[in-house]
Amino acid sequence: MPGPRRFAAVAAARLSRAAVRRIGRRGGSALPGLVAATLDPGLLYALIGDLGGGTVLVSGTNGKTTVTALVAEIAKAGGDPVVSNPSGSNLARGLLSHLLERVDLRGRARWPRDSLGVLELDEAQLIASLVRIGPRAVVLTNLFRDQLDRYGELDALGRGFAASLSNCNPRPVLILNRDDPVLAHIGESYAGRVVGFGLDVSESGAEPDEWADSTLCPECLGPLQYSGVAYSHLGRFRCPDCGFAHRPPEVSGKVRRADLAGIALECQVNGQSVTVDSPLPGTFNAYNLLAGLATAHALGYSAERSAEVIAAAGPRFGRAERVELDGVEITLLLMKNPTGANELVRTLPKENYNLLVLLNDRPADGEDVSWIWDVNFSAIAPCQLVTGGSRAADMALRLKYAGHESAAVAEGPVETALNAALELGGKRLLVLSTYTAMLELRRWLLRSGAIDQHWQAQ
Amino acid sequence: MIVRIGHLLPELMNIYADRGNVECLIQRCRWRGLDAETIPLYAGRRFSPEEVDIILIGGGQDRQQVLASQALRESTGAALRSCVDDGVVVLAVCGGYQLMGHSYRDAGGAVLDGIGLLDVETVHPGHAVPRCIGNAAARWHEKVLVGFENHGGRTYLGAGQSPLAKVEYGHGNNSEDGTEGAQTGNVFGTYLHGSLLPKNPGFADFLLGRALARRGHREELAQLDDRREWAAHAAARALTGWSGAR
Repeated sequence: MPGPRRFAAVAAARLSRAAVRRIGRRGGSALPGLVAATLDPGLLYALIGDLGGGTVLVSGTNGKTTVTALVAEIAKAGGDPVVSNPSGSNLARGLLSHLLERVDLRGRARWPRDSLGVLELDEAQLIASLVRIGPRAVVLTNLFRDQLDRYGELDALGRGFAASLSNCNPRPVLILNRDDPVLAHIGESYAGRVVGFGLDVSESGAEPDEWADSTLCPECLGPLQYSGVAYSHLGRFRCPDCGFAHRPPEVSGKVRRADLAGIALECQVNGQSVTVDSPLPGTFNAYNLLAGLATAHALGYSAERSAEVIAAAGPRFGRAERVELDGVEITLLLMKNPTGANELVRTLPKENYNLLVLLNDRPADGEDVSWIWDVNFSAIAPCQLVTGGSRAADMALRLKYAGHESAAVAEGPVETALNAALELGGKRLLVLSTYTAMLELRRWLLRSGAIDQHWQAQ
Repeated sequence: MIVRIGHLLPELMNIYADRGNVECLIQRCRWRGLDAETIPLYAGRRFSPEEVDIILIGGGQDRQQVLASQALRESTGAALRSCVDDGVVVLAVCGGYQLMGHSYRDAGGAVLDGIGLLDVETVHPGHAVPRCIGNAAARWHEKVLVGFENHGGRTYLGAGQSPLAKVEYGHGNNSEDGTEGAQTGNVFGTYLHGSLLPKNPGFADFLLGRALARRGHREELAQLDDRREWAAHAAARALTGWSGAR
């Protein structure tokens, strides 16, 4: 039975939510969660404990939001009630704010008792909360360098994951990317069940590209050798010094097609063949589909049904969403870090489009914009370019050094930059944008009617 | 003439996009009609002063920095030393800068040897003390360098060591004495990344000029159209509370 502390925390959270809404901010502010956690530090874990179907936690640098959404859809299609958090609320206070919207005045969960939690967690938050949550399954998508001012270093993150996983009792099923050396290394020493996923790269190049983050062995720090690479440092690796090597994944996929229009993937789920056609773009999303299939397999959902659900799942917030404005098709592409941005750049078509690049430097984007120098923008085919966002000048400079000297710079609000890009003419505009600029742009598109579906500001 | 940019230990020290510094120097040569190439100087690779004109080294993760320290104690360090003795220009950023000093004491008290080309020592005060993070500006002669700094270690200059610049905004070497970076001869150390050189074109050309002078190329570098560079410089400087014309 919820006690008085929980009651007070829930009441205070409700008041602060009302206050936030009154001053005109829509959607899920983190403030109610912060207020509630201050009054009752155990509340988040108590509410997660009310998820009778157990909890799946999804973490990693890229793909969290997409994988969380896929797993939630698969579980719903399998007949299970699901509680999930939207993108952007993956820190403790944001997650708590979101869960609090689904409790009654006395602090009791209003979701069905046997609900499955499918929760996206920020990497550092996963390490901090894993033992207290005690999940059924943990999904690790990949580890790339993100915003260093927030996360620290890849190695340290990998060690943090391994240490907190080993402290869980009982041990959750670990679903991980076997093509990512740091994650594969965690799987080696994990005492619980591991379901790995990976891409068949036997027909791809064998060199990690020069823009890769880490190609050193996580065991001995010797240089890794690759016999196939999907992208960045993901592939079939082996350490000639200590023998640490890639293992065949339990859930594997072979890419038949991966471009901006979607993916065709042939998968093997524990020996069973399934084909997935998805509207999600690029090789990076092939990994997300595999993570979804592998998690479904680990939780006991049918592979065929899961593949159908995945095929029907459209892009999430800013992940290749297509909108139309004044007869121009606009594709929104979120860039969060160098690896993701490199993959997007590689996925861009070769002709017949204009490109708008929005670079903001707010905390959610990373205040240090150095990372744009780790993105191979010279791979962009010649096209008409506009830069915008709070660091439009830095972006234009980066593009100049990448061979795009003539990009126009549009300072000011993002809609100014969008209008400048639309004035270039053409029927197709691609937008590469950091997180907060994407939020601003979507808000503006929503107001102007280009986006009509229900969308919650975050 | 081909200008040769050596990228020192790129497999270990590559965390803050210091690739931008390499790219910047290469392009600024090419735009002036000079050929330029990048030479990766991996750990264990032997190189001589005749092979390189400028050497760049960036920041690294903790474990990688240990390996870099080891490489600098071995053949890589000996090669670097002979290059410096011969007047090769060296730009070391963040973790690379720390390794150009005598030593780095980490948060746990373990001491990592540096190569000692700069008379500086770095001490990490422990994880309870906040890192030095943020946009930064420093006065370099009559000019200003802008960038972003992110370091846990505090660097202290020896009695005779000159700093590279004076802090105008941010933390600099140690948040205490107002110094930023260090310079001895043609060896330059700094905490500024961002990447540093693209939006500080004057400093980039200064390094390039010094490297070319060593090759006997004494005429002034041709002016480039640096409007994009100065616009990014001004935008970065505005984040440090500065307002006004360049």
